[in-house]
Amino acid sequence: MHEGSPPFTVRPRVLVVDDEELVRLVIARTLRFYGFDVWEARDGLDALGQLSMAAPDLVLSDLNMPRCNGERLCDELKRHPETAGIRVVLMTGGPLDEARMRQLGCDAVVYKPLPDRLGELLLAVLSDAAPPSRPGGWAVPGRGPARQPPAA
Amino acid sequence: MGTGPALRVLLVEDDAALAAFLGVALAASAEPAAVQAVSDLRTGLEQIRQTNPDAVVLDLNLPDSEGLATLRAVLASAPHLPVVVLTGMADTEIARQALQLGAQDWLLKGDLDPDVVQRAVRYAVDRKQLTDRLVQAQKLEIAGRLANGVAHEFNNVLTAIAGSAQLVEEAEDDESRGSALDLLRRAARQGIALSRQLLSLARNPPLNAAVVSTVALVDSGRLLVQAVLPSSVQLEIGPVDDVPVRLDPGQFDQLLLNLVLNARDAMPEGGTLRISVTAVQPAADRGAGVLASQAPLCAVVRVSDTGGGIDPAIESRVFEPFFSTKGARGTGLGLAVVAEIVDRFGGAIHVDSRVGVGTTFAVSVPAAVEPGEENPRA
Repeated sequence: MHEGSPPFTVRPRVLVVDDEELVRLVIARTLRFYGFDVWEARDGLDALGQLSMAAPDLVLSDLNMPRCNGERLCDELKRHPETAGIRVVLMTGGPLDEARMRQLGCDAVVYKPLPDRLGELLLAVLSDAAPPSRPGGWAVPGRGPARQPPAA
Repeated sequence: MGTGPALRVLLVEDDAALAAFLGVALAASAEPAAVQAVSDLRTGLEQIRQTNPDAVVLDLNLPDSEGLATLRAVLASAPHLPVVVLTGMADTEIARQALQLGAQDWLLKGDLDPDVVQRAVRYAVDRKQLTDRLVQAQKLEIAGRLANGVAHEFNNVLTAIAGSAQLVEEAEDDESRGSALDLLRRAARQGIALSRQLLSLARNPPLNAAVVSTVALVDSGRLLVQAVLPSSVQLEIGPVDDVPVRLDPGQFDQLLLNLVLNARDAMPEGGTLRISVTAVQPAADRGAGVLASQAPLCAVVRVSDTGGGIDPAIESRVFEPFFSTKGARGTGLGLAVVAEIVDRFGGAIHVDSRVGVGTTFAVSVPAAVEPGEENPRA
């Protein structure tokens, strides 16, 4: 566990990835309102860079982005054992091959405009039985030094 | 005997003997055509309007029109009509240009055989139908991609609108309500900008067409272009041939600006942007007389960059609405708008790109035809 962590609260950590700044801002703010610990990336490459420094419990990523799209991001995450436990939810405003996304290991797909109960949906994905990405599952320290690499 | 209804062929030929020969050749075929013959362009155009024939066999040199102008006049009044052009023995260059303008085939006057004539007309009709169907299919495909792109963009905007409206609802104090409202307004503005762009693509604004010289166009565009280029991009203009063209100068500015913005974005590290205009002369428009052969066919406006070039795999898609490699920075509408404007000018656009070397967009615009030239004896 982290040294000097404050008392534990249930505060799942979500990385929101979208190249549309406004969409990203709105989603991030909504999720913060619901009590998620949220940080943001503007495309798949940016997300991968941030993931090397801190692991979230869930990545909520747009599908169509320049440089590295959501599909590739999901593939990268699921292929590496140290990130495979991170839940991936892809969002898109267009048609999508859901079977292919499942094959990649994507945990859920949401369509834009996003459902009102996005927070509940993400919690459901997080609580679904699957090996936790680290000790303690998705229950993570509150405002403590949260953005640290997961314990090996 | 033919299976379908007989082909209705309009013959526009002032040489009575040649007209008779062609008439017999077409009517005596295994699938006889219903042939109607006229001897000048004016009557020919009238007949096309009134009887809507399946094909036209057109002599380029008629009492009231000569050379490629004859073909242009026919295609302008009936763009979907298959045309087989009749030329003299020495005019293979004109024949080639006629095909480029949209004729389906050509026949050499001195080398006519009934079988060849029948086949040329029959194939012209078939080929025209096939290409029209192909174009239709391509249009449908593009419409599908367009619908997909529009849905995509609007779903993003709607995500932001619905999401920020929810934030307004749930706001616990004035400050967070205020900032949520701000997001809502920004989202609405994005939606408005998107629908404006779509409209600019969809509507056909009335053309304020005027005959303008390419030198004047490039001169007035220069300021506009300089305003959007960073200092890391060097602007080189020239050579600029002087060609009179008939177009809407405002739309030409828009076209030039979109091409320049595209070139600029292709050179994030800087580079050279060149704008040039080349006059294309008719190779050997012998039938059209001395004056016409000196007038250029069209002006080719080139915008070149020294950027990274276009991946050959996507080159054919760059003019598609909503196709963009710029992610959120690009709307995917710039080159689509360019293609639309070029189409309105009656021109054509080509892209020539080499990865690692740069990209050139070449827009050809037909030269303005002097009043009366189309119909010198009228």
